[in-house]
Amino acid sequence: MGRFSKVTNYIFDSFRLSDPSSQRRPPSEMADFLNDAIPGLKINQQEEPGFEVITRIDLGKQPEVSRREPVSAEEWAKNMDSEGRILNVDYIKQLIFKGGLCHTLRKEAWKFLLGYFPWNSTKEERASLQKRKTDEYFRMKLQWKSVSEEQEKRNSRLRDYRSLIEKDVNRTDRTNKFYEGEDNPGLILLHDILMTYCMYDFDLGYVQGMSDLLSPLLYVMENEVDAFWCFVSYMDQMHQNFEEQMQGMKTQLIQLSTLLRLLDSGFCSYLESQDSGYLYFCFRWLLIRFKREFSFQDILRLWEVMWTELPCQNFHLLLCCAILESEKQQIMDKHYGFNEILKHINELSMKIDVEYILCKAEAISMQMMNCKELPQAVSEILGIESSSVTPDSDTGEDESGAVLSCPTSLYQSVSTPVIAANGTRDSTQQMSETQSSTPA
Amino acid sequence: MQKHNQKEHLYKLLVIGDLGVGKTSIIKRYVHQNFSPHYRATIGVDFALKVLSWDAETVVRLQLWDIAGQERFGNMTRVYYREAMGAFIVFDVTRPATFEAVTKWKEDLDSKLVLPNGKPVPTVLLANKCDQGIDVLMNNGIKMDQFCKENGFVGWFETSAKENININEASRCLVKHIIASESDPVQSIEPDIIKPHLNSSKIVSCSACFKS
Repeated sequence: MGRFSKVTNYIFDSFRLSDPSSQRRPPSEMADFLNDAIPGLKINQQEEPGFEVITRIDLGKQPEVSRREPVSAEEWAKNMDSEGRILNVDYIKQLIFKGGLCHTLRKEAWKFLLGYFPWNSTKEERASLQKRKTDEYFRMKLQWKSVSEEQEKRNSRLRDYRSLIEKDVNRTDRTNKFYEGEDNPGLILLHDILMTYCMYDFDLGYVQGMSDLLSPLLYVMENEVDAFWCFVSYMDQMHQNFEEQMQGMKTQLIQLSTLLRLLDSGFCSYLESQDSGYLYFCFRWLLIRFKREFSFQDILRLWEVMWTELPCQNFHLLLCCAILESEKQQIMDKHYGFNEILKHINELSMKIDVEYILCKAEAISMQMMNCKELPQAVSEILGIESSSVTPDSDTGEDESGAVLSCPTSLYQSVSTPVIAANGTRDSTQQMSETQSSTPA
Repeated sequence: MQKHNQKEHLYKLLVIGDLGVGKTSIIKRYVHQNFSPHYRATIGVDFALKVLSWDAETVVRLQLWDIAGQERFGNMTRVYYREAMGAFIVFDVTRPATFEAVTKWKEDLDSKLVLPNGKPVPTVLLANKCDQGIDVLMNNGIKMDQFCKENGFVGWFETSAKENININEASRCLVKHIIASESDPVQSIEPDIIKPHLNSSKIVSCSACFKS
């Protein structure tokens, strides 16, 4: 009922059209402008804003979610066999998803999470992989290092990449101890890794924002070669964001809009009424995965949680939903318009509690997974299979109408560290390595 | 509207121009009176607010929109132009390519944004980093005046965020033109940007302000 009255309020507001700015600039002008700006970007604009309230899918109450302690060195070691293989990948990912990693583990664990190290590799195999990758890195590094000044004069793209990199390296996380002060060796490493990445992927080269993605990786790895290959893996995920057409950004904005509409169609309608339905205010969040929104330490936590790819695909979009939902009240109560919404969201930077927002996003994921009539589009975005295809077997208390492509029973059990620590062996036997949707 | 003696204006101003020309630095200097060579590259947009006591009766609040300069983001960042009342276009006097891009920025701005009366928004050109002493473009002030006239800038200033040169002056010039354009709401759409009969004394005073 409360929600309904808010929506009707919004309808009244839109009839009133009291906003002086909307008198100055016809809304149609903005719509044309947006279509102009991004050809091919189509977000289902509702013809009749109040309509969806009636057909709205009930997601039920948001469940309580708690998080656990970061994975400790003991827990990590316990889950490794004598040759250094990770025993139970799904289990360790669940732990990381629920609590992150203690800092000392990051240097090793991130290489697995990012896909630089295969989970089932032995210590020995990893050592030889690292050796190969070191040679490959220095081969590519030599390529740009050996370009003479004369050659560079005739190579405008390399010249442009270099000048962009120099500009950005100089202003990347300079308040962080690892990068502060003049002639900080960290800056030279950032520079060299980014230049070498240009050789690795010359078509993409360097685009602003990439130094933000590299900086935490180098900080954790404290090693040029490892940081480079981790960066390569991370860029595999983020590549589309930086491409000429920014397809990754467009896709994510559309997906986010789809998710937000399911979660809160009233808020979506409000945003549309303020010409903000395209969710452009999430641009920075998406481009560099919240890097500018949280403190450096919080970003390490947030990223490692996202890299587990749990509890579903595109969890970062649910993080966006969680933040937006937290701000909805203020945005709607104060009747923020296009400019105010943008400014408000922009100024949330460094004010969001990372653990709170992780809990909230996880709760939203559970709401959606438990939804019996989840729209097909949402299932696809989250990578959730419909339960009508795969019946939910013996997970007992699990009421979900949709099942994740990853095991969910364990996922619930790890919220208590005690069970997690003791249950390691058992769960190893229970879990198959393949991504079973119905764990035994 | 004006019940009290004091009038208050809120203006949204854009700060645009190529990557690394010093847009953020200019804003930080103007609003926070400080300078660092290490301000982070802007992703998307950043905001700052500057309050001016314009005269005894008027307070002017400037909402400065610091827009990322990288070309690739252009498609998406240009939605931020909306409802702006004025703009600074910035280039770096030590890098000729950033000056060559100025006309591109201006054309882009004018094609995406007009005042309610159909005229382009008042725009001031800033030749930043003038403290660097590598000024290859500014040998001739008359040429710049010509350039501004031809390209529809209401004025131009050599600025330095580092040494705090001319930033306040440039801002006052822009605000003056905004206020003038506001009090002129019934103009029909006019392709010619500089109107000799309209506040011509003010336009002259901008460049004079710089020269003095």
